[in-house]
Amino acid sequence: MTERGGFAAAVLRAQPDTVVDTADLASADAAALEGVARTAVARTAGDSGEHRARPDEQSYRVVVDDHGEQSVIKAYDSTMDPAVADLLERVRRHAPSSGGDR
Amino acid sequence: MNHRGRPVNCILPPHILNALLDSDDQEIRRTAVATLTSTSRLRGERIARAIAAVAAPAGGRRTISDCHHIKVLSQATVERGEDDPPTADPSVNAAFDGLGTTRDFYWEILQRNSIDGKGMRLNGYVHYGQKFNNAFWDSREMVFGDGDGRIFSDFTGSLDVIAHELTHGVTEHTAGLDYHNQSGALNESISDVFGSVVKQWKLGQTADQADWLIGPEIFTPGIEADALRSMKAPGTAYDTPLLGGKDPQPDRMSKFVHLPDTDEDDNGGVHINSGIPNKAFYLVATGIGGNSWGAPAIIWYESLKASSADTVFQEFADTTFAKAGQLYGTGSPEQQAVFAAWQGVEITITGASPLSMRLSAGAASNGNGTAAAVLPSRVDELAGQIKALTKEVNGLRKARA
Repeated sequence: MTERGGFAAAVLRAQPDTVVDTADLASADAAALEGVARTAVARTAGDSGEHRARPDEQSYRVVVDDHGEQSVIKAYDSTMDPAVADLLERVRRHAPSSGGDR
Repeated sequence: MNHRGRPVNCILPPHILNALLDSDDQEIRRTAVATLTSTSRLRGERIARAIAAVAAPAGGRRTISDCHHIKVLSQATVERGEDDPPTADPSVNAAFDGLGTTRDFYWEILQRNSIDGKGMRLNGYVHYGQKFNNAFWDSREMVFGDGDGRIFSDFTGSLDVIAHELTHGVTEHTAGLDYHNQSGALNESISDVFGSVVKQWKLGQTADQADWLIGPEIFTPGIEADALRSMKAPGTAYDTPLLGGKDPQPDRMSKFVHLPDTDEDDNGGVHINSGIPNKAFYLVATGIGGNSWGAPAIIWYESLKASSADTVFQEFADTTFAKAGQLYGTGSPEQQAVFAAWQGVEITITGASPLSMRLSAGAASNGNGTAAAVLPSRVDELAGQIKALTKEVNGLRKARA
């Protein structure tokens, strides 16, 4: 997951991507994350990709790799789909450096 | 401060204007306040601010909602309305107070009734998402995150951040500066400018006393950073590996950072190159002296209203120079400060050279305006000579061929 833009865009621009491997998660967390990812991919499949930038909003790019088959999700704060929001929160929570609930 | 602008001819005597302040009609009250404030400003009086405070606008009523750490605004719950007492949630109260202070600033100092000038409601959302390191304006409301607690803390903790976001709304309803490249950086800068000015107004600071920092409160105590941005010295707000290194903001045009116009590159570096006009405003404010919410803020606000979606730095600089001349007089200290400030960031006002500024300043200080008055005709004269010479050279070339 790549996060860019926002009020602190200059700081965020220098931050590394967040990578979560479900193989490293507890089986229940892995299943939940994979389910949310599939839903988010399905919900954004028909997106045109056109978006008018809003002041200070962040943009998100999530690459979902399902056994070699990759899907890319683009999202923005001002037009956030709830399923994508759920995916972003779970990725952040399970990120290796987050100290989350792994 | 010595104002040399054209005298304001006010047809209504002050006692009638004061009586109009008691009118039941909001528009009549607003107009009366605007007239009194404008007149008083030019006289250097302070009374209008007190009057405006009494005659607060009916618009800009606040509603603060709690997102409960999810990113779906429709599921947020209303926690505090305009007439409600403080709640137990500090973020709700900080957003409420910050939006109120900013709304009052726009009304009392710039006679603007809320974001759209028509009393638009101010909707603030707090606790957006989990560990959300951001605050943004989405064309309808202002949204604030709590920060991750590692680098950033609550974004409602900084008045200049709240004023910054509300000002994005004002920009959208005035110039509508396109959020890409230079116009986007200008959009960002306008929000930083009024974010800082609102904070200075609230604290009663002069330009010399202010810290000119954006978001000093949003970093957690363990982070070694002055703030997110410095208007006084862009590029110096932080220098730590945890934030990705050094503050990348430039402070002059020769250091302009050219980035692709993509999401990944901050729409052409709108949060990076804003350092240039930020520094220009700082130089104007300190050059003029006193309070930044006086002439500097008024010049910038009037220039914002006169700008358009694709305005770039050079055009905005030219507009501030023209506005300073219209509001305070050609060659006035205010206009000279604007000229010098843009020179300080390596932007030269179109059609104005340091020499012409000195001539104008001299004319203004002599009180006769002669030198300033002859400049246009002198320019025309020189242009005519260049045209004649070009014709002569072309003629010679033809003859030689």
